[in-house]
Amino acid sequence: MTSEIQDRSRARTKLSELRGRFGERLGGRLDELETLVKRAHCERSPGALAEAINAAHRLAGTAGSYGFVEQGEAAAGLERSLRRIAGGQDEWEAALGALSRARLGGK
Amino acid sequence: MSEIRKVLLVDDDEDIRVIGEMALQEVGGFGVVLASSGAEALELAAQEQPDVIMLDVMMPQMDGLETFRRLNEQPATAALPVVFVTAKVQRHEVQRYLEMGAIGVICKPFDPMGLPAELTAIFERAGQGKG
Repeated sequence: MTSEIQDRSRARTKLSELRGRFGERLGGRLDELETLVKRAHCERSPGALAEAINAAHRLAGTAGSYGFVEQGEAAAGLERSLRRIAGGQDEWEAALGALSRARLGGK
Repeated sequence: MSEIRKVLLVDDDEDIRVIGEMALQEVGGFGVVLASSGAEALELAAQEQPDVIMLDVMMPQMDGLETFRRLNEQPATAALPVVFVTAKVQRHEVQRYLEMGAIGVICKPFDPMGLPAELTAIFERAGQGKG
């Protein structure tokens, strides 16, 4: 039992370190996402949109797993909007809003 | 009667591989083998014979569904239990994955501290684990 508690405590310490390192890289990932979304918005090409969807999808899964829940949820919202845009709807305003929320940590 | 000793974690996102490995090793006490693509997963699955494969659905080149199909085609890997991991889960998709033969689905984002327990529960529910 003591060993199990120690294992979990060690895991929490490690998780906190990983979270810190991810947090340092998160700004860069958001920059990349913003570049892709703006390119897709500007070009309106299926290829650029697919890249932006993929980047939003990845960030949605990753950020939340590292405890950056708000950014992850905003990225998931962005992905949903981008998919609707790919389906022919005009959701750019919502997509760009979700991108801003991801930048602001979901606020 | 079996338990999870070794997991093959397949995800093209390095950040997910890093945190998944930490969770499965440090929290779950499992051995972990990592693959960053479907092609690598096919090779490592045959070689390592993991007790369970955690397979990301959305990957470039060979996605998780195609990887799963190919795993099932190979006699060396056809019987290995697969849990899909995906950030895009709707009920009908979960149903589809289960009908394809996966033993379960784990959603991203996941809680790293709870991931091993979630995987174990799926494994045992599927009749792969301790009865």
